Amino acid sequence: MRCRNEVFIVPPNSLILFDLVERYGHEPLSLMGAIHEKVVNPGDRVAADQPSPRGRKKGLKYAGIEVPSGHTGKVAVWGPLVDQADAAIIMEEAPFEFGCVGCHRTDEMVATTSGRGRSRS
Amino acid sequence: MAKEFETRMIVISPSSSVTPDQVTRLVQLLGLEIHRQGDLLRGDDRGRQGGRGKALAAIRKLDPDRIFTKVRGSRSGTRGDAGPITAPGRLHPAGEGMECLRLVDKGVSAAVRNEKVCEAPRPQKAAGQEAQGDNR
Repeated sequence: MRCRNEVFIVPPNSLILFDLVERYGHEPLSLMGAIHEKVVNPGDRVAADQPSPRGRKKGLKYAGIEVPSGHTGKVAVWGPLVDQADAAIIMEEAPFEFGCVGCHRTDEMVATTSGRGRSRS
Repeated sequence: MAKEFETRMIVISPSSSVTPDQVTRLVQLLGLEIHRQGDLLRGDDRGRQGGRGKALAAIRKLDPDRIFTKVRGSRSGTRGDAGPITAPGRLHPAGEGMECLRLVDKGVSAAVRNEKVCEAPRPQKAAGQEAQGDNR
């Protein structure tokens, strides 16, 4: 029986990574999917690509209160995906045309929470 | 409802002989609840769960190694279409240009045939660039 893993991809909106993960029978966890959930089920009265007050609270699980709001908003979407993932494919130094991956701090947070930067005791 | 409808973006690699028109015609001939709108790069396929999977499999069969697809955050005709703005859930075709897709489809073809995939050497960083990256 083939195992279907949930794979988090960075850049999270990458066409190539999304397609390759899906092609080999796994489920890609992408930013588009997370935004799609917000588009289809609009719980808060804000645009889907803007962090809602509820989203900001979620982001505080991953980032401190003194962290800029843009970073908190990003990790509010990325963080649950990282938690949900069985594996991750992280591309270093992705081009800036991907848009929301330009934030170096968010990239560092993803690298840390996905286990690469975590110290193993 | 979240899983009932899905919007997909389909991109054909420039090295493929499949045309956007072929894909459009195939989707129409399948007779499923699939809605197409716009040109191919921004064309969306929406439909019920079963129909969507069938359509996707049929489209991939046209040229398995050279047709790429991903989910789209916004529906077609919404603000997600508005220009090359870098925001989550919107289109980002510039990041993975046509030249990049051409290389990737060669790699996929080689992997399917169990051939060795050529890997380009990783670009070396300049000495100052490394230090600059750490200070960010």
